[in-house]
Order: sequence, then structure tokens, then C-alpha cells
Amino acid sequence: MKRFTPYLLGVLGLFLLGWLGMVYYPYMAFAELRPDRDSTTNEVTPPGLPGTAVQGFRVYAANGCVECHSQYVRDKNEGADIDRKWGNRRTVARDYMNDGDVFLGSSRLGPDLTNVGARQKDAAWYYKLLYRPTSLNAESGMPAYPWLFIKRKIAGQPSADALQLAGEDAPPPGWEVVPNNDARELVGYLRALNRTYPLPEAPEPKE
Amino acid sequence: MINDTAAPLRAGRTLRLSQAAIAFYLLTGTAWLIIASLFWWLNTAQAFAPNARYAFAGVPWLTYGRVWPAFTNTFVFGWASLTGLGVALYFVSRLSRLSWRAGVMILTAGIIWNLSLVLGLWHVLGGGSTGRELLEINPSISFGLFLAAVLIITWLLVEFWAYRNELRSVPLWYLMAALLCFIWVFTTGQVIVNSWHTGGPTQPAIQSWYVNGLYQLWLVPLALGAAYILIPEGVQRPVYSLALARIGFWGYGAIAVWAGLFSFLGGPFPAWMQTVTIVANVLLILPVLALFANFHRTLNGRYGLAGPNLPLRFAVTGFFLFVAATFWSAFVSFRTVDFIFHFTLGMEARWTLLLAGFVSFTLIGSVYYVLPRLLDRGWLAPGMMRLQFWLASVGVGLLALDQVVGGLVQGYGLADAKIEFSAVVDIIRPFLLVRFVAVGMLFFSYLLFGLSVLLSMCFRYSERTRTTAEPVAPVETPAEVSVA
Repeated sequence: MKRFTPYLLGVLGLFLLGWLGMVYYPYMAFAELRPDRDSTTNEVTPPGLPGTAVQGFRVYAANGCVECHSQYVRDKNEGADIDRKWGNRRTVARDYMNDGDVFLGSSRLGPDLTNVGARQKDAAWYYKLLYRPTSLNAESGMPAYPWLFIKRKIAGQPSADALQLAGEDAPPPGWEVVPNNDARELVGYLRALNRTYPLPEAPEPKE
Repeated sequence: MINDTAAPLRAGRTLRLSQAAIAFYLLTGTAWLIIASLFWWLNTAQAFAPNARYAFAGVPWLTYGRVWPAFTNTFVFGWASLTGLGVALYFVSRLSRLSWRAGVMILTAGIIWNLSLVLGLWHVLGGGSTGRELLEINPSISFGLFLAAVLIITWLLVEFWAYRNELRSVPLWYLMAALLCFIWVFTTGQVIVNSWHTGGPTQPAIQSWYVNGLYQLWLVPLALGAAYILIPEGVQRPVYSLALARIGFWGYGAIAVWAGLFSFLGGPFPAWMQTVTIVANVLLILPVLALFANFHRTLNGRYGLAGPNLPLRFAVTGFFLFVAATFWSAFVSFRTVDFIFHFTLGMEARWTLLLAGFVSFTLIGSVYYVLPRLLDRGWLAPGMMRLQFWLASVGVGLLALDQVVGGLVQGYGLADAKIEFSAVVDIIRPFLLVRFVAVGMLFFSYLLFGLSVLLSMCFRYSERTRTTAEPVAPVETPAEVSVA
């Protein structure tokens, strides 16, 4: 193996094969995904994310939520995800077809968030969790995100979305903690994470 | 360096320029290693105590989710890639004919690379991360990295070709292949995922291949190329078998490119892609065994030389970590094992063995080998360097062991739905503490490494033989002998 050209062609050829299989194939194949339309109810799945949720991607990415939270449910024989009630069925490629950014994640220092919007619908719960995780669970391993909130003096009426905090976490009397715009977008995104619809290739179990 | 091969083109200004450019890559790479490991250490502290004041809780730009990408990006693009480029430029120059007429461009590319990385780090910490692994830096900033890479590698390839250089030695196969793959992998990630902003399930599929490509097709071949110089030269013996070297090279390249879906096994991807990844990870054992046989037969009976010869010691230890990493990757990719280890600390063990182990050990050994020859000076404090070696070895060993055992505990916890999730997190606290201690050892080891580099830069000390225990005059490159 002395001459450069055959070597170059060899390296590039081998590389091209793998590239075609692992990069080009998914690029072409996933582009052909189409939503599923139920013939009786005329319902389209997967539904797209609402506009407010799309903004929340940015906050989710910026603060690195993906480092601890995954967003996919494995099949029943590949893990306890379904037993842990993180989803009723495994997630498939079509579930993500509308998402501009997909945060699958590869660590579960925190719970899976594929269907967190279906488990927890209350916005106030999310705000409390983000502001002071230990206020919901004393053992929580999640860091607090106080920069997503504004602590301010109450002028006139207290705000409707001020956090209901107790004990040490509560602001001094006459003050309130309210979510800022980033927090609203992030919570909008989290509440929209809901993939509890059926797809032909991954039907919901009948129970 | 560069004056130890027949190269009439290189003299005076060109020689000094090539030395300056390579030294710049090596020194900034070393600085990035210290920065990266500081982020890493902070990150392990935050995992252990998420809301402690000493872990900077409540400071937005130092929150866990921003420190982690800051660490991985500075480690891969700062330390491993910059130092790797410097090492590759040095070895390719020594083993073949390059004019270095475009030396100014290479130096400029290094400066662009560093500036983009500083800017990217600042942007990620400031809340501009894209959240995609190793593509966290905003595309408009990481274009600088891309541009620099294109400048360096295109120059190297064009010049390599123009001078009708031949691949006379095994390390050249690896170094040139690493550079070729790097530009392709990097373009794929930067263009398809970041610039075109391909969304949907395509994004994680390509991104996972890109991350794996950076590790297995860029950093690993680079380190293998360096090992093929440090090991034969350290024991003053030619490479044992050219045939084994061929099998190792082509086998590894042909298989590694298919191993891309490693971090998303069990994910929403076609079954054949996952199966191919698993098969590739298992098959990789074969070329790695060929590599192992070759290195072992080269070293056989002269392992003792790795005691006094530090570059050799780092290269040999690093290579054993590579073998361990390969077996571990094959083991955890089996579905039944992946079932347990996926999403746990155990996933990090591969990273530890491959990146903090093999790649970093080989690159540190290469810096210990290259810098004295490049700048004609010796190492001041061999005792400190030996301490650095032991800290790094114990650190990596402890870290990998902790991640494997911790991953096993966490994995069995997660697999049993009757155990509450928060209880699983609680169970692994001790392992997070050990991880913090192990990474702390690595941090101090890298600090000592930086200090030795700094000392030898500041004080001229020309008695090279004291640490490397080999003649100052360049030996005939054993790798060249083998191909003749």
C-alpha cells in the first residue's frame, strides 16, 4: 500500500458505503413520512405542536434539559419504560416527524419526558418544579432554574400566575415570584409533550 | 523535527513557521484540556449536589445543562482535535514531503479555530446552545471551526498529492485517513444537521452517526497513527507484521463507519439500523484484536522499556484502554445488556475508556514525544510527569469502574418499575461522589501535564534523554523499515 490514489479511493469508498447507509438512507426515508389519517374519525396523527410550544424548544435546548431527560419510550421487551407509565406504546420515527428539534437524550438522571404533558397538565406544578424542585420532592436531583422567574414587589393585586410557595421557599410578605417569558414558553412546550395517540405501526395497547 | 528527514525545501523561515504552527496547536490544545476538565469536574459536583452553593446553583451560565456541553465541546474540539491536528501535522511532515509554504495559512487556521471555540463556549454558556450533541455551538460560530478544518485538511491533502508522496509507513495510513474522515464527518454534522436544520427523526439519526464518527473515525485513527509511531520507536523495533497492520486498518475503517446509532439503541429507528450498529460494534473486536496482536508482538519482551520512556508508557497504557473500550462497546450493545445499561452511568464508561483513556493518553504521550523534538528542549520535571501518569491512570480506572458498577445498579433500578424513580437516583448518589473524586484526579493530572509543558517552554533544558531514554539523534523510523 504505497500509492496514494488507490488508498484514497479505498478509504473514501468504504466511508461512502457507511455514509449512504447511516446518513443518506435516514435522510431520504424519513423525508417520506406522512401523517396518518384515521378513516373513521378523520383524525390526523401525529398532531403538530402548538405555536407556543415551538418557542419552548429554544429554552429546553439552551438550558441543556436533554442532558438528563430522554424523550423516547422503548418497547415493552427493551426496558421498563411502559411499566413506569412513561408511555403506553413505544415511540416510532413518525412520532417526531413534525418536530424541528428532537431531543431523544441518552441519560435518565431525570425521568423520561415523552408524555409528560399527558401525566401533568397543571402549569403551576411545572413552575414550582422549575423554581424550586425540592418544594415538590425533597429528594429531587434536579437543579433549580431561578433565572426563569421574576421576584417582584406586589403592586396592587397579586398576579394570577404568581407561584404558591410555602415555608423557606416563599418570598417575603408583599413580594411575589412570577414566571418570565422563557418559563412560559418552556412550560408550554413541556405541556404539549404528549404522544398518547395511536399509530398503525405502534398501536396503543387495548386494556 | 522537520529537519530530520531529507527536505531541502524546508529551511530558515519556513522551518520556523512550521514549528510555530505545530507548537501553537499543541499548546492551545493543552490549555483547552485544563479548561475542559475544570468544566467536567464542576459538572460531576453538580450531579452529586445539584443545589449546593459550591456547585454554583442558581448561576444561569454555570447550570448543569450548560456546563456539560461546555465540557464536551472544549474536550473534543479544543483538546483532542487541536492537539490531534498538531500531532498529525508533525508526524505527516516527518514521514513525508511537505513544503509548508502555506505555513501562514495553517497558523491562521489554528487561530480561527481557537477564536471560534472561545466564542462558541461563551455563546453556549450564555444560553445559545442548540441542544444537539457536539453541535451545541451556534452554526454561525461553528462555521469558523469548519472553515479552519477545511483550510488545514485541504492544504495537507493537496500538498501530499502534489509531492507524489507515498504511504511508506503504517502511521501515515491512519493519519491521512483520520483527516479525510474528519472533514467528511464534520461537514455532514455541520451542514445537514446544523445549517440545513434538518428536523424530525432524521436529526438524531444523523447526529448520532456524526458523534460516533468524530470519536471512531477521527480521534481513534489519529491516536492509532500516533501509537504506530510511539510504540515501534519506543522499543526500537519495526512493526511486527504488515499484514496484521493491513487487516487492522481496513477492517476497522470498514466496520466503524456503521456503528453510528450507539447512543439511541432501542430508539425510534428502523430495526435494521439498530441491528447493523450492534453487529458493527461486535465485529470491531476483530480488527482491534489484529491491532493488539501486532502491537503485542512488536512490544514482546520489551514491555519494560515503557517504565523509563514516558511517551511509550502513555501509548501502551492508552492502547490497552482502547482494547477495553472496544470490548465494553461490544458487550453493552447486545440488546439484553443494553436493556440494563441504556440511559445509565454505564453509557459514559465507553466515553471514559475511549476519550479520556485511549485518545487522551496517546495524545499526552505524543506531546511528551513531539515538543522536545520540535523545539529542541527537554522536560524539566520527570518526577512530576510520572505522577501525572499515575494520577491519570488511577483516575480513568476508578472512573470507568465506578460508571460500570453505578450503571449496573442504576440500570437494575430503572428496569424494576416497582422501585420509585427518585429512589433510583438516590441509590446512585455514592457513585456520583466517586465519579467526582475520580474526575478530580484527572483534573489534577491534566494540570500537572499543563505545568510540565509550561515549564519546558519557559526554561530551556536540553538534556532530552533523561525522560525519554532514547538517543537524541533520530532513529530510522521503524515503521518505514517494515514496508520496504
